[in-house]
Amino acid sequence: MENWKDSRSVFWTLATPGTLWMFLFFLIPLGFLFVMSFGGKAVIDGQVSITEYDFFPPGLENYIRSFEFTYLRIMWKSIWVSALATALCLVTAYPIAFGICFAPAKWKPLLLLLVILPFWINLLIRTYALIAVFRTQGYVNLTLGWLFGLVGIEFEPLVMLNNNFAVIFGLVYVFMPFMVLPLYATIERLDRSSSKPALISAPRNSPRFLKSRCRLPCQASSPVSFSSSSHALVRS
Amino acid sequence: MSEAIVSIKNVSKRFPGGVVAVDNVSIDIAQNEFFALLGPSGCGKTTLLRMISGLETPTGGQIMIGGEDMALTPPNKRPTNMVFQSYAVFPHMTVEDNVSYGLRVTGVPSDETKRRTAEALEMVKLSHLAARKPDQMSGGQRQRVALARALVKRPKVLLLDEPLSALDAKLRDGMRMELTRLQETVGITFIIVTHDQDEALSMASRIAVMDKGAVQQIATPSELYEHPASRFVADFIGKVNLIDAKVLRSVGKHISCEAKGLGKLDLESTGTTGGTVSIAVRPEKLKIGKAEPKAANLIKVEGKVRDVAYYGDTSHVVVSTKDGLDLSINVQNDSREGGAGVERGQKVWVHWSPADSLVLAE
Amino acid sequence: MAATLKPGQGPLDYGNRWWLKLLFGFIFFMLYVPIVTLVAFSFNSDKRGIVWRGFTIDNYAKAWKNDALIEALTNSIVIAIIATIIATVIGAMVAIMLWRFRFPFKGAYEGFMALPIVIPEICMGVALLLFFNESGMMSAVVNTPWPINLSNIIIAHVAFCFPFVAVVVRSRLVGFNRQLEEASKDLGASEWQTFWKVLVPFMMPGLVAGALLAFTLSLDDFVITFFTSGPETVTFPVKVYSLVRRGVSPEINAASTVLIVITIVATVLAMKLQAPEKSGKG
Repeated sequence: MENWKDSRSVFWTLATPGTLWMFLFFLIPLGFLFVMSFGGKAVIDGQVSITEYDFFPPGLENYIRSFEFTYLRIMWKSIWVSALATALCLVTAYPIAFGICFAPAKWKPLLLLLVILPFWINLLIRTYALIAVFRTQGYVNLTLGWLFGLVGIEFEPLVMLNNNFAVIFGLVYVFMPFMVLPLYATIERLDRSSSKPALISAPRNSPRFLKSRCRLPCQASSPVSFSSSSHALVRS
Repeated sequence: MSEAIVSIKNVSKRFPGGVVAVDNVSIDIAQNEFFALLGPSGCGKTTLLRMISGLETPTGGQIMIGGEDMALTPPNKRPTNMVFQSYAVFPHMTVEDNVSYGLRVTGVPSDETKRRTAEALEMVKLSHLAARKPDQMSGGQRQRVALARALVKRPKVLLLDEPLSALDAKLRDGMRMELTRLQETVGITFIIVTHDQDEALSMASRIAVMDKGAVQQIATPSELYEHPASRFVADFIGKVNLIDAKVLRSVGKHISCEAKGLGKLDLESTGTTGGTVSIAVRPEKLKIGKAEPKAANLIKVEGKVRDVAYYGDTSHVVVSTKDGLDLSINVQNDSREGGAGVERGQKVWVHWSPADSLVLAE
Repeated sequence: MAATLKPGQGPLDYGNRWWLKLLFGFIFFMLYVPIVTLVAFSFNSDKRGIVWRGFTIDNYAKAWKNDALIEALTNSIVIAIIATIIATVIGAMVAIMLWRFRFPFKGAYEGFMALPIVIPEICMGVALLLFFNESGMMSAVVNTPWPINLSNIIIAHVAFCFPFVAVVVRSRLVGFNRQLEEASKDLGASEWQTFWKVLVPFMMPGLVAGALLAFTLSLDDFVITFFTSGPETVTFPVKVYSLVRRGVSPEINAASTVLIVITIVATVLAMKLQAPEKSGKG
């Protein structure tokens, strides 16, 4: 690695665009958000304005308000929904990763492709596709209705949309593939002849696994795994 | 010796942080020489080679190539080309594109590029693999690509950085002969960096032995082997028995000394007048016998065989004297029976001619 | 079945256990059923898309005639292409800089560059909305002709895409043998020739993967775009969101299918382009 002083012109040419972009369109906006978090809506002529802000004097009212029950409840819900979704992602991703590892060699690339493919499909489209499955006249309810009809029991369609079930299922559905790749990479690296306990416990202790487990699936984990999946792409 | 093509004058390289890799080195390398820079790893030989190529800048001294000072000439403008230790063959190009690269980037006309590339490939016997990619080739073949790629530029000097170190033993012997043949055909100066004395001895016409950034001795292979200038060179080139001795008296070219385990000896020596010296004797110059040799004027000592190692053509015997001196002896196994003819624990006499011993100053 | 081992299999070859196969199949089924039905029902003649009433491509025609939908789709693709180009160039430059140079506070700088990867999208979206509003950039572009009115969204997309490109390209650069650069210079190439003829070809798989990542991230983004788009600059995800709120329609299925096909084709093409040629050694 060279010292930047050895070729300053090259260094600055390479560094300027990215740094500038990050400052202008990332750091400054976030700083803006931060400064504003201490302000409030401006009061002009005794009326609370909708568009104008007032930063002076800075205060902590917004932060105090964020501890109100309403907000705390939302935050808490975010956390437990994320935690549950992560756990379910793990439960579903593990057999897939395991299965791919032990699949015949000629099937592996295809199976991996099948896991990666949903990455490239628009998130909103994938989520939208779920509506058709879970709505009152969706496939689940239609199938259940048909089954109940066979037995001759009256069937009341289940409500599976716009509730916690839908949110969690959606999260698992969308983010599960992100978990398969790191798991697959870890299991694949283990020696097949290694002892059974190692095979079962080692992935769980691997830093990569912990990383994907500790991240909230709805936020940070997606890009992280996304980038790791593309690493796999680059290196393959 | 004809006029020097590469002239290195008092060159030093001090890295930031204070490490002195090359310390005040001066070497003149003649036209058409096969010159080797030999030394243990970290002795500065590669740094010196890289300074000749321009990939590293000296912090002191002057490097002249073909009579021109190279101080301000960047590597891409120097009349030198390098074969890298890792070969550094471009992985995304075919063999042909690799070889023609140096011509294409410098604007050589395309028909000439084609002709010269074909010639270079012919020379390293790779014409049939011109369309291959490097990852489909063996180490030895990649090495040839690197050679052809450098030679196609018709440099005044070809620099080779440990060219054989990544090859397996069998390929290495073949490549060694190939390099010598190539050097004779193309008739340009080769400078090779190596840590392997066999490589240097068998290929080079002259060798510079380096240690800790400084040149220890510059000489032909046989001179280096038979007349090493220092204890380091004697020890580094081939195997040697080094016996400590104390100079008692010196008269002209003769010294009288007290050697450890051997008693008083009269030897020929130039340049040593007193103090402690090392007496160096090559293992193959020592003779071993069961009885005390009759001839006068031999250096002889009695000892016990401590170890015998059989190597097929020779056996290596280690004899310990009662004063704790260990002597290694190479014995030719010239009959099918018996090998070295001695056994471990046996009492033997070791003797050699004083002319075969060399007195080295510390 | 589980007790007898075939040659070449260890006792831990769970691939042959029927229950694992079943579970495996079931999860894959769950993964693909929604997507497959979405595609299938884009050819359904039933207006409400609940039961299969026969094959038709009317939905595609309808989607094609739906100006708002087509406009959103074009916006999305144009934004993605431009943002990808800019993000790939900037990301690659950052990657080369981080790979090649030592400089003070490098660790802090790397952390700074990774921020857009870890920060919640919603924060970035809100922050950018405030910034564009307050700096006057929003009002500056709002009445400009297409596609200049997309520039705010493009700027935002580049900001969250290029750090990903940098990560991918840099991981590729780590494997670069610097003696290749030296060899190139030694053979007479200038710094610039060396960059284009040696470094760029080596980076190519990383550049393709990075660009692909940026393209999908941009095409995929809903949250940040939702905050930075105006009524004239709706993108496809934003449009789908607003339409879905009014209910499912086969037109959306059709348009979604088109987008799926575009992304898959782009992915496969890019993978083909970057795939190393099969060598004799396999």
